[in-house]
Order: sequence, then structure tokens, then C-alpha cells
Amino acid sequence: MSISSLAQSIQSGKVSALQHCTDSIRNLKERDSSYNCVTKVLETRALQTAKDLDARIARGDTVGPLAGVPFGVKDLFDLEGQVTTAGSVVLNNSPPATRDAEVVQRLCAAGAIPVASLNMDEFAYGFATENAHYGTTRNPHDPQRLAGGSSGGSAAAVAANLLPFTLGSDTNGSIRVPASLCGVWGLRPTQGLVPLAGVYPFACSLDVIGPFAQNVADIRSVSEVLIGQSLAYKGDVSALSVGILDGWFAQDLTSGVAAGMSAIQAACQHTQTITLPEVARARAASFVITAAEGGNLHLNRLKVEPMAYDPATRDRLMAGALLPSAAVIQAQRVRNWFREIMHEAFRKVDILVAPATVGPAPRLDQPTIMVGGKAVSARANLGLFTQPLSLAGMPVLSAPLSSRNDVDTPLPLGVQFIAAPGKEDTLLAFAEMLEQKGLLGFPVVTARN
Amino acid sequence: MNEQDLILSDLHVLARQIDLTIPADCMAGVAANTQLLRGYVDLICGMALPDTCIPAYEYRP
Repeated sequence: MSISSLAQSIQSGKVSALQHCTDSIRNLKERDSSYNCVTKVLETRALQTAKDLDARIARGDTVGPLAGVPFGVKDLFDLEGQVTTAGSVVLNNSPPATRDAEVVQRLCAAGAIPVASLNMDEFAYGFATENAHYGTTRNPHDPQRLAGGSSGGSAAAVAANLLPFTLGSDTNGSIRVPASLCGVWGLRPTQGLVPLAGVYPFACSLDVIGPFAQNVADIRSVSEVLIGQSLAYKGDVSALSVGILDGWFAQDLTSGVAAGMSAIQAACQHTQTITLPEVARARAASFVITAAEGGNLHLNRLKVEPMAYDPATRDRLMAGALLPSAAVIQAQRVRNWFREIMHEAFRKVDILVAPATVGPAPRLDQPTIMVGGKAVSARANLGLFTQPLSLAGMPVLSAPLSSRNDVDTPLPLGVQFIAAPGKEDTLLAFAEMLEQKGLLGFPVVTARN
Repeated sequence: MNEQDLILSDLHVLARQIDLTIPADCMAGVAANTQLLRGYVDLICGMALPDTCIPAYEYRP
């Protein structure tokens, strides 16, 4: 059932918000032990909110477009009365949040009900959701494989059909990588379009938050609330011109990803191949900015309690804090240069298409991917195709390829659709057209299958 | 002094500049990450940009 159908059923009284919320929480508790998506269940708050919503509906009050729809948030969104721990134990003694993050407030005003906070890499620094404090989130399509990160709990909860939608954050690909590996949809909106108030930062000049969902219609329903405007596309989708990114973005692809990219190209009427220059430098700039900003954010705590951090996170943050200013300033100059390159591309086409990851989720006992013929760390390199695009701040939709693309390993694979700033409506319409053609969409894991 | 000792010595100098003490148990990991970042720094600093290409402090996509 789509999010809008669920909300309509609750608004009309056919389904009780309280009953649905109770069932959702029971499902979370019963099934999450297989995946480790959840860090906290907000049972008392959720059930009270659902009860109040039913009372409002019974009185005839107007309720929002997400009435009664349960959702979860990555463990870095403020939730009133809860300590925001950002996947760490370092912040455990911080005071509880006095209000919800602004985007959570928007969703609640639309009737949605927060029911859980979700696992992540510590302080969002990683692509694996291997957390030394809260454990590893497992991929619902194969629990012996990574869910991806850093918003791994958010992606896996949707893929396991534990929640209809969730929120994550994306600095270098932390929405797009786990969405790809878990076979769900994830949107990184235009940088600056969605407020970050009440969201614990990572690298603040790159941070963006966005939703995960099971289909493009649900992504639209949630995004319209997050952004506060309609995302209905008024143009002719078949007339959109599409640029297939090659060069950097065509290397190291598994056969399933390559087949999916070819199928998308064949399904579009107006396509051309686009080669972006200096993508390796764009990725390097993203690495440097992230390390420097993250390192600086944590520097004072690293001075007094370094051993409280996950060792992998701590060592990366310390190295980032030591970066010279000349490198960071150069990275920000490269960023402006790359922005112009991206705008130049959007003078030629409406949509760019790129793979999201090189292939399917790596195994937990072999957390590597093949790049340039060498096995490299998945935790550091799964963002090979997402990091350069983060630098420019354009909206990017991560979409799951249809399961028919990889007959050898029927695991999820993802692609990225990129548009000019503020063109989320175009992205969603284009993806919806491909979803209707059967090229996109991956089944979720239910209790029965 | 071998290369590894030089790297560790450099790290101590850099850390002193920001009043950071790197615990002995963390040195190897910090050194490895610093080496990784140096590769990226070399890549971006090897790129010639016009003087009019300013840093993206007030970045708008």
C-alpha cells in the first residue's frame, strides 16, 4: 500500500491510526533482530500521537497528507525529549533535545508519526553502517551483506518493510549508497532546500537530508512535505534530454549495473553521452572538505576523550583536523570550478544518469569492492560515484534497478539521476516514467518472503 | 630516520599546532589516514585554477 493510500485509509476512518501504529511497532520489535536497523523505539510517544490523531479524525478535524504514517529517522535527527547520539556514545551525556528537528516537525504537522531512531555509522563517517557501539546493520536482501551507509538503518528499515519511509542524511552519498545496496529509493535534495535545524552535522558545507521510500510516488509524497511545495511536473517527460555519464562513471561496473544503464539509455528518446572532466579531483575535494570540517567539529572532544570514539572514526577525524588550510581552501575552489562544469552539462541535457555503486552489497566477511582491478575498503570507497556529485550540491535521486538486470546475483543495484538545482520535480517525473516501463523498482523483504 | 618515523614526526608537529595529543594507540591509524588524505591533497593542489575562481564559502548549487 502506498503512503498516500495508507494516509487516506486512516483519514477516512477505515484504518485506525492507533491500530496501525501498534502493528508497526510490533513488526519492528519482532523482525529487527535480523537486521539491526533500530537504535530506539519511540513507543510511548508514537502510541499517544496515534491515539490523538484518531480522536481528531473522529471530531472531523483536518489532518495532513501523511496522516498516521509511521516513519523512522537516522539517529542524528533531534527528537524532543531524546538525547541525539549520532551513532556514538560520545554525546550520551548531552541534554535531551528540547524540540524535534525542523523536518520532523514538518512531517508531524502533516500527520506522520515518528516511531524509531535508526542505526548509522558513527557521526555519519562511513559507507557501511558498521558501528562499534550499536552493531552492524545487515542488508535485508542478504543479512550476510552490508546495508551500506552511513544511513544504513534508514535504508534497511524500508527495504525490510519495517517502515514505509525514513529520513537519512547525505554528505558524500550516505543516502544514495545504502539506498542502492538495499534496493530502495533515496533522494538527496538540492543543497539548502531542506532545513537542517536540529540535525547533528557532519561536514556542514556538504550535509543534506532526505527521504528513503519503497517507490517514487512515496518519495514524492514525503518530499513535498519536507520541501513544502508541490513536486508535480508540468512538462512532457518524453521530451526530456538525458545525458549518460561515462568516463569515471563507466569504470569498474558489474555486468548488472552496466546492463541497467544500457536499458535506461535505450528507453529514452533523447540521449547523449556526457564526460565530466576532473571527476577524480572533484571526489578528492569532497574527501578533503569532509575530513577537515568533520575533524574540526570534533577537535575539542578528541583532545579530551579520544578513546570514546569508534577507532575507525577517530583516526579519520584526527587526520582531518590536521589538514593544512591551503588544502581546504583549494578544495573549496575546486568545488566552485566543478559547479560550473555541472551547470554547463545542464545547458545540454535535463537529466544526467550515473551508477550509484559499482555493484551489489559487499559481504560482511569481505567488506571490499573492486576498483581499478584492486580490492579496496568498502567503508571508504563505496561512494566512488556519489562523492563527486555531492560536491556540486545538485539534487540526486538514487533509484533501484529492476531485479531483472542482474540474473547472476539477484541483489539490488542502484542508479543516480541528477538534475539542475531545484529540479526535483523533473527527477521524480523521469524516474516515474522508467518505473512504469519496468526498468526501476526492487521488491521489499516482507515477513513472509 | 626512516620514512615511517618521518611521518610520525610530522604528525606530532601538526598536532602540536592545534594542541592535539595523538594517543600512541592511535598513531598508526592517524598516519594511515593522513597518507590517504595527502594523496587527495596532491590531486587537488596539482590543479591550476584561475585567480578569479574563489573558494565556495557561500556556496549555492
